[in-house]
Amino acid sequence: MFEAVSVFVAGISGVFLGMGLLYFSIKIVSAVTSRLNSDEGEK
Amino acid sequence: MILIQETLSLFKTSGFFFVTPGMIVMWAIGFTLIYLAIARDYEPLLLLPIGFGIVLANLPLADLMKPHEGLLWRFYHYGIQWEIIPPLIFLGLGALTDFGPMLARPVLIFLGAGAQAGVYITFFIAYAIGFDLKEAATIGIIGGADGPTTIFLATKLAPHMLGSCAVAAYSYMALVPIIQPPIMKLLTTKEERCIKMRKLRKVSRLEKVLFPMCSALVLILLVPASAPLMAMFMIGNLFREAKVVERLNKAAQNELLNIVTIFLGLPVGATMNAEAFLQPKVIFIFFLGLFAFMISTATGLLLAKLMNLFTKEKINPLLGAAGVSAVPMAARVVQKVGAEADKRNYLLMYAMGPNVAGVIGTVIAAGIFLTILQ
Repeated sequence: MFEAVSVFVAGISGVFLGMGLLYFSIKIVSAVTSRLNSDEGEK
Repeated sequence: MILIQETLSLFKTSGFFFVTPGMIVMWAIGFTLIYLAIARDYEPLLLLPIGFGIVLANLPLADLMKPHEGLLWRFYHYGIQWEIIPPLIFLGLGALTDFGPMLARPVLIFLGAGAQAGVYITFFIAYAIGFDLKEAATIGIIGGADGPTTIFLATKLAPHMLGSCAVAAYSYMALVPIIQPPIMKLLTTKEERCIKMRKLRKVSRLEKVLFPMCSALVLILLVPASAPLMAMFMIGNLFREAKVVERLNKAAQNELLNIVTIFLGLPVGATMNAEAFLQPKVIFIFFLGLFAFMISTATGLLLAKLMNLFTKEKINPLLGAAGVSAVPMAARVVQKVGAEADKRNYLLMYAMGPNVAGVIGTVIAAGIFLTILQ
């Protein structure tokens, strides 16, 4: 049962960690691209 | 007399002589799936070849699944056991997927994660009622509502359950419009269902091009076992967004996806022979698969409600139900249930965000199972 509990906890936290990393990478990409776009607009 | 003896000996060497009651039951199951595919339009692209595969695998003496010799065994071995077909399906799905709505409102990706809680809750319950860890994981992943991922995981962890889990996954995906709405209505109030979402921002082409590369890097580094599916999903999406390989994009979306779909359904159905399938455990697989699906829907909804407690800008909790993968069916169901509460509320585009995030979430969940249990 201990093994099942550890898979359960590791699984749920792993999925949220993965999605959290994805969220921050999207935010970073979005910030960088909007900066690039505004720089191009100024030129 | 000789003529009668000859006829009798011919009959004894034919398949008719070796038909068992179990085989007849399997034919009935196969023909039922074919009927549902043709007459009811239930996931016909998969249930039709799976149904026919079941019938073919249960024809005595045909030996279509005989190891190293049977035609369907070769499809199964080289296509599925060698991990070729599910990743190729993901290549096509990547080429078909627009991540725009998800990139426009990235916070919605957590709803795709929330729906995966159903996978792990079902895993735990399946283990508690007597399945071993690998079998429990294979049953749990049905809740992700993602056929190729279910097949991918079942092949690696519990190949003897491949056919039943695949049929359960595709059957419940077809039943999304029936299974989800009662749960959605039960767990939300009418006011919540009427919440209008802020207009999505425009996503630049550069963001869409960078996304598949960034996410492949981040997610494969985090869960290397998810690499075969994740890598193909993201390269398919890069074909789509790069706009410079239109031929590859179209081939991945159409010809390739159609061809591999044929070679996926037939051998999956063919793994369901009477001895392996007609067991009490299979009933539990179907029951737990349905439970997984329902719990995934509920956990997605409840996470959206929880997020509303902490965010200024409210999210329509119905979007949480789209966190199960079933693309785009689950998103359409969200639109339908939302429109029933307020016909001017258009939720489809918003629901596509958690819907495609759900695909990524299910692949991560499968990768974690593989990492720990394989």
